[in-house]
Amino acid sequence: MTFQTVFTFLALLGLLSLASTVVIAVGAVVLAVTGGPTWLAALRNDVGRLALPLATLVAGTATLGSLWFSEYMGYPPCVLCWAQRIFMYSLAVVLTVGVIRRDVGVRYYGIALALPGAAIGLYHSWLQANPRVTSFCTADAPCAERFVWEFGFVSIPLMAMSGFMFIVALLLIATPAKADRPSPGGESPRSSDQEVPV
Amino acid sequence: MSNRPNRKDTPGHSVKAASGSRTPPWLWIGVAAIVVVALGTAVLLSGSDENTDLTVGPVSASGSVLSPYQAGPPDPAVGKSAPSVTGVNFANEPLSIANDGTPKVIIFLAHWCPVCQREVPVLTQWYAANPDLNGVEVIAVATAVERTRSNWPPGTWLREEDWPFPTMVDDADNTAGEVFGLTGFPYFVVIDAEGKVVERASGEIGGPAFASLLTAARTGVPSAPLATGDTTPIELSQSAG
Repeated sequence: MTFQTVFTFLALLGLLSLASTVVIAVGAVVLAVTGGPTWLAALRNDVGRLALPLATLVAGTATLGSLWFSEYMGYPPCVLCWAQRIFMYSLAVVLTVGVIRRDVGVRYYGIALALPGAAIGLYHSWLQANPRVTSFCTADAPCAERFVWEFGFVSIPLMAMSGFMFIVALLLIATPAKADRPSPGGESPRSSDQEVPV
Repeated sequence: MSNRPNRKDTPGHSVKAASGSRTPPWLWIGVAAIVVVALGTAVLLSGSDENTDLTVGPVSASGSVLSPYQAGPPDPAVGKSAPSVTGVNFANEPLSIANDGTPKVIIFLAHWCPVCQREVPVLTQWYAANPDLNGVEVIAVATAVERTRSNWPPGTWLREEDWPFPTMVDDADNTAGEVFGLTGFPYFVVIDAEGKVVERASGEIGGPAFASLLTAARTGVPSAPLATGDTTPIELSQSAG
């Protein structure tokens, strides 16, 4: 497997995340407006139970992906990259704790982290897609340098933005995976969101 | 983290979570299948990585080093003899920039530079519409090559853009760029038939301005009035790669 394969793979995951976000949003609107068919409500519940661990998986994959770009490929993270990293790395940790504790309430913290990350990713994507802010480049100031530009439009910040948005969508529909049960320490469980909005 | 009591926090009807139920296995299987399909697609799309293009090559330079380019007149390099550079192209075939009586426009490109990435297709399209250069030779130099920066390798990039001009690969020390006074990308050096520097320019210029540079090379008259000055009197005879 070449590094180009990894570029393409991560770009495809980004596009899949974006497409999944759209599907979730459309499904939520249909359910909210019309009540939706029974199968859609059932699917929403099934996906809702999967949502928190899947969001954790997305954050973990994005974290590992960014580390692969910087530590293996040697791409230096820019200021905006670091801003997105702060939110994505925090998401990976916070959501993992939420999954371990079966605490769907972690979604509030997750959404609070993912939204600004998505906003920065959107701005950074725009910068890389429209690098006309400068008319020439120097080695020290590489403008909006595109380290990845798959399919003619997928950049690293676009992948990050897609990941953030997918995480937001997943966390919005997240429901407890299983019934509450005593934690090993005897502490009451943290599944505080038995009733969840659709 | 959250110990708050249950509540409906957004408008819309609520569904009681299916306590005691597990996530259906098919959902996880579906997620895994999608990831596997994405990976397979990536392998198919990316193909093999058997690129044999050079990214850096041996470069030897002689003559006076042009002073580092700074935008705006007066350009001290104008009127001075351009240095000669000998190197190879991406296929390791000899390529030189020498005082051979042919007016030239030299274009320095960096693979990671977004402005270069925009300029290359613009000049390629301009050349497709204006293939007659009226005796002016256009030579590009792929310089500032860094494996860890974007859009690498430069040979693949330029081939995918159908770049029509012969391109020399600079060495790891960017010798060709340095002797021509390179300070930014893209960078243009206009040389007349006598081997004198007529004009230098940097940045995104587009087709019409590029045509003006070709005219300047052919006529020996800068496309904009520029004063002449001194070059850095350092004799070079180095090679690397």
